[in-house]
Amino acid sequence: MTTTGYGGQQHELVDLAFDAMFIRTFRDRIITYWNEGAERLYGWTRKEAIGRQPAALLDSQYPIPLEQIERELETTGRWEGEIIQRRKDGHTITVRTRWGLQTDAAGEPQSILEINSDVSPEMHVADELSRSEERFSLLVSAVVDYAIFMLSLDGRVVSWNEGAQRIKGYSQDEAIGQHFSIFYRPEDVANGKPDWVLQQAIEHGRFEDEGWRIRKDGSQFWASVVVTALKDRSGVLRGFAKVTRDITDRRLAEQAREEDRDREAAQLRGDAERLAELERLKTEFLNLASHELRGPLAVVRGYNWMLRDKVLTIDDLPAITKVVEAKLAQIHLLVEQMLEAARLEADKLGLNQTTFDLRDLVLQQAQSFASVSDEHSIEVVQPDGPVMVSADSARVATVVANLIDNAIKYSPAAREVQVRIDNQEGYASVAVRDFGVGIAPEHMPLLFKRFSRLPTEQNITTAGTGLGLFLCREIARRHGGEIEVESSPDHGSEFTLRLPAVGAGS
Amino acid sequence: MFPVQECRFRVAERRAPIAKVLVVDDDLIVSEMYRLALSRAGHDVQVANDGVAALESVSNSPPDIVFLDIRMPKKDGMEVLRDLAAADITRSMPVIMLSNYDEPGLVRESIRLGAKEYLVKAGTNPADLARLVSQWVDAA
Repeated sequence: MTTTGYGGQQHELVDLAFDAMFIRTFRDRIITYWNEGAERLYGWTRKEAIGRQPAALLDSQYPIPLEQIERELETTGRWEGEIIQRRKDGHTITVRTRWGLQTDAAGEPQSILEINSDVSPEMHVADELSRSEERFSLLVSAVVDYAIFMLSLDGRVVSWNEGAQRIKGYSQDEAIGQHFSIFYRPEDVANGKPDWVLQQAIEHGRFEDEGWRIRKDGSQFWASVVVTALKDRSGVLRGFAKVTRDITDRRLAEQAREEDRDREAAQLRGDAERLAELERLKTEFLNLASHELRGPLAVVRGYNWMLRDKVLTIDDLPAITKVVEAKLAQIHLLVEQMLEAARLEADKLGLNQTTFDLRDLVLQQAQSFASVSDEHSIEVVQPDGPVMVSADSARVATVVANLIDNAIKYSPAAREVQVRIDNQEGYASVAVRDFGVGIAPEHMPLLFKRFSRLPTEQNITTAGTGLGLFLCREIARRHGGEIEVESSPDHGSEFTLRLPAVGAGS
Repeated sequence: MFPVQECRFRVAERRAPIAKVLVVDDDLIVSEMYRLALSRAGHDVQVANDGVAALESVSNSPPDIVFLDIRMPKKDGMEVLRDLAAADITRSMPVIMLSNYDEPGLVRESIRLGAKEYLVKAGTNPADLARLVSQWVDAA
């Protein structure tokens, strides 16, 4: 302050100062200047204050007598201290005061400038509050894992934090002022979800949600959101607080777990179905096998009883023993088939592979049938050179026997069965041809199916389990081969077994 | 007082009367076995190998008793039984079922239709057939 004092620009600047400032004359303590800060601090306007004495207005209480202060002022030109004053509204305040002495050219004290600021405990609290507000704001702004921000009544962003920027991608400048529906997917906005969310928060005080939200770059994330309606002390809605967390990872993990569970459930269902099917097959199998055994058993037991009771004579024996042998062979075949089928089911069909000439095996089978069946002739056609295969000879014999047996069974009227052995394109083949009843086209799909017997009149009488051809095909396939059939009703059938050939074939 | 020798003769032989028996079974070997057993027991045996042939034989040459298989081509045993039960002439003819099926339903139905007994072949001694003939033909 200069001695020229308080005119012009300096005056205006002082006036703008935040602190309370006033000037009073030294001797009679009349207020000659009162700034805006003083008006604010004390409540007395300029008009009310100028011309009055501070004591009347402010009722100041000093830590040491005023005269002592004024004497110090005259000496040093300065004084600082804490005083208690009263505002216009009666409130007492604690004030930090700094005094400066103005002197005239002769050094005579003229007036005192007081610069005062409120250091009351209430002010402390207010300061504390604003400092704690500051600290809180610091906390919120620094939290990085959660987007914590506020919305105005109409849903516009009014605050932002680090977490919000990290999660949503918008900077503070970009976010503030935007309507919060920019965080929602277009389809959700079209459905009115953002407004609905706010509505829920108003109705219930808060609203929790999980759902997809959109980042600044358009990518989606799975959010966990809490929206709280902010009301002031009188219950008036002032805005909303929103806390959002990105739980995309958790959701992806959840989805993966769900998929795993679904897969497992489907697998279990499949297993259950397979088990039920296996049970059914097992029952069918037991029924079929048991029933088919009764036929030949009746004959063997019957003739045995008749032998024991001497109903049969010596002369009957040749014919009877032949019949009994045939029936026992039937039982034997049945039992072997059942065992093979069981082995297949348990996947325990261990192939006993040796290398042998298919011609020898086929000839052997053909001969054994020829000796049993009087009515049929079995003709074998074979190439000159060996037809070598690497296979389970016992099982291949079963297949060939089965094919020849079928040929005989299903050509009751015709007498010829032709068996042709061949070797072509890396495969050895045995083709069994009969000229009997043949197979209807609609029955073809049933032919190789397990337990499936063709529903023909002949098959009412002709014995069979439905296992034969099924087993034959399985055996062929396990060797890397196949069984094929060609047939024409009333003209007969040809079944061909193919096996991979080994070594030099002709 | 009779001479001792005469008494011996009179007690020694008691033969069943000769019956006319019809054996019905589609298995040639089975029907032949039963035919052999019954004829060795002294009866006059006819054989039929399907349901149609069975009914023809009944009408051409009415038997005193019929042994009837179930599973047969052309007409099965249950149908034959129904036909026999339906006609006055044959209703009272004794029929014995001889099958390898043993479903309770079939047994019940056969008895309901008038069959006298139901036998499972695999458990039946052919001699039992002759015993059944004595039992049911005498009764008639």
